[in-house]
Amino acid sequence: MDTYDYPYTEDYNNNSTDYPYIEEPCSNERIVVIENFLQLFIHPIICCAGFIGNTLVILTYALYKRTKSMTDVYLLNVAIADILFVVALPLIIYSEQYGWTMGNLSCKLLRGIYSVNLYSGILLLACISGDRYLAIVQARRSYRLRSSTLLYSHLICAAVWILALLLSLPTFVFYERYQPGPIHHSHENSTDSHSNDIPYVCYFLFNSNETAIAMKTGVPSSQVVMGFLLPLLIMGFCYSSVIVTLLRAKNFQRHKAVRVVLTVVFVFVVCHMPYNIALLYYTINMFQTQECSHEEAVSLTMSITRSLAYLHSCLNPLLYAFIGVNFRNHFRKILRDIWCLGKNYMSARRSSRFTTDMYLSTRRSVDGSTNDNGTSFTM
Amino acid sequence: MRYWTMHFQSSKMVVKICILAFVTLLIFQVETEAGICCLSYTKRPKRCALLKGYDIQAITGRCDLAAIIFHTVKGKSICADPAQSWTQMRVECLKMKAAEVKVISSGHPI
Repeated sequence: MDTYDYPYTEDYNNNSTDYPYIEEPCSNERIVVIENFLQLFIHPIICCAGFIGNTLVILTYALYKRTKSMTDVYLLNVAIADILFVVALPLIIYSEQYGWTMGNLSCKLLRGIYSVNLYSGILLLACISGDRYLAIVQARRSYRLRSSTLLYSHLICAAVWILALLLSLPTFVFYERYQPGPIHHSHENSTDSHSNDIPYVCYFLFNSNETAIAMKTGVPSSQVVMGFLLPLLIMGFCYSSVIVTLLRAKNFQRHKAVRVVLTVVFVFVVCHMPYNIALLYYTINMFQTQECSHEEAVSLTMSITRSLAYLHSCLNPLLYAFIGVNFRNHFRKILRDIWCLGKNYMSARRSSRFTTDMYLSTRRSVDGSTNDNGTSFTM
Repeated sequence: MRYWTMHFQSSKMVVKICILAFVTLLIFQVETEAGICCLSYTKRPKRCALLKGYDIQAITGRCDLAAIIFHTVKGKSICADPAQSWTQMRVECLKMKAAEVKVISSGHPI
């Protein structure tokens, strides 16, 4: 019957079940368990913290503080990018848990929005470092430029958003909602019903092997280069120049400022470096044969380090906005006003004198803060 | 200072609520299917008599390695290198077997 069998390809023994050299498809059950844990317990915390922090930043700008400097414009845009990111993330988690029931458009949009905000958030941080470089290192040269034109920062922000959109185009184009699994081909008893119970995924789907290879290597590579290395290079150059200038200056607050700069860079590196190294390693070994255990370790590392990278979007409000004395004063004013409003609402008579005092002290502190030069690292 | 603690207390509460919400979500969670891919190839060929079918794993979807997945009569899956000649021979063999089954089940005499 087996005309295609040759003697030299005979099995070593007939007992094929305990054959030690059989290569079976790798199961990712353990990864799925870890992913589920991260998605259901860790990411919601990140999303909540990120949502609260970034909402407060946006509210502060919207209600109390007009965007006066370039830094303000950048900070507002970072907060918008981060908030879109932390809003898209729970929707992605929900969709992944329930097999993308919202359809193909939601798959493309959610993944795309996620990618756009990932890029724009990080690139805007690089812009902030550039802005601080101009403000501190090139202070004399840039003074007129910075004070006269807010337009530049709007243009730069627009450019960053467009660049982020362009970098995310492959995601918009090639992400599809489909049922995974190999192409079913030939079975002796071909009564297959396996295609009905496989849940849908939202992932890359290509027409040809060439596009698959190009995009599967190109997309992660661009993420490492444009989403990490380039911003790191810009931040490294700008902030090291800033630190050199600050250490030369005779300002009593310089050590605090240096500490803030170092914290900003340190947190960026700690959050994004592990994931980018894992991603790079994964991409290099992508189309090669490997052990199941090896692949599992790499996937596990990527899942955990990815969560660390997500954490950055809820640390940004603390690192950039709330660390600035100027911003903090405005934020205090919001809290006091909300406090007063609540007090007034609940017991109007009892607290009237108290709120007047509070209001006056708030006025004083805000007026005091408007006189400083607006650099956001004075602590 | 009081305003800061107030802020953190409120955010703590929101976090607690979120955790609670997601714990309930976890209970009603749909078990996600374990996606499987071949990552390496079998070194030793199998006889065609032990195989009952095959699948093609392409790199255009989730998996990153091109492979032929043979299904044995004992219900095992075996990853094979599509570039190897024995793999192509087994595929041809299985195609012929499938054609035979089709002819027999449709009732036409050969």
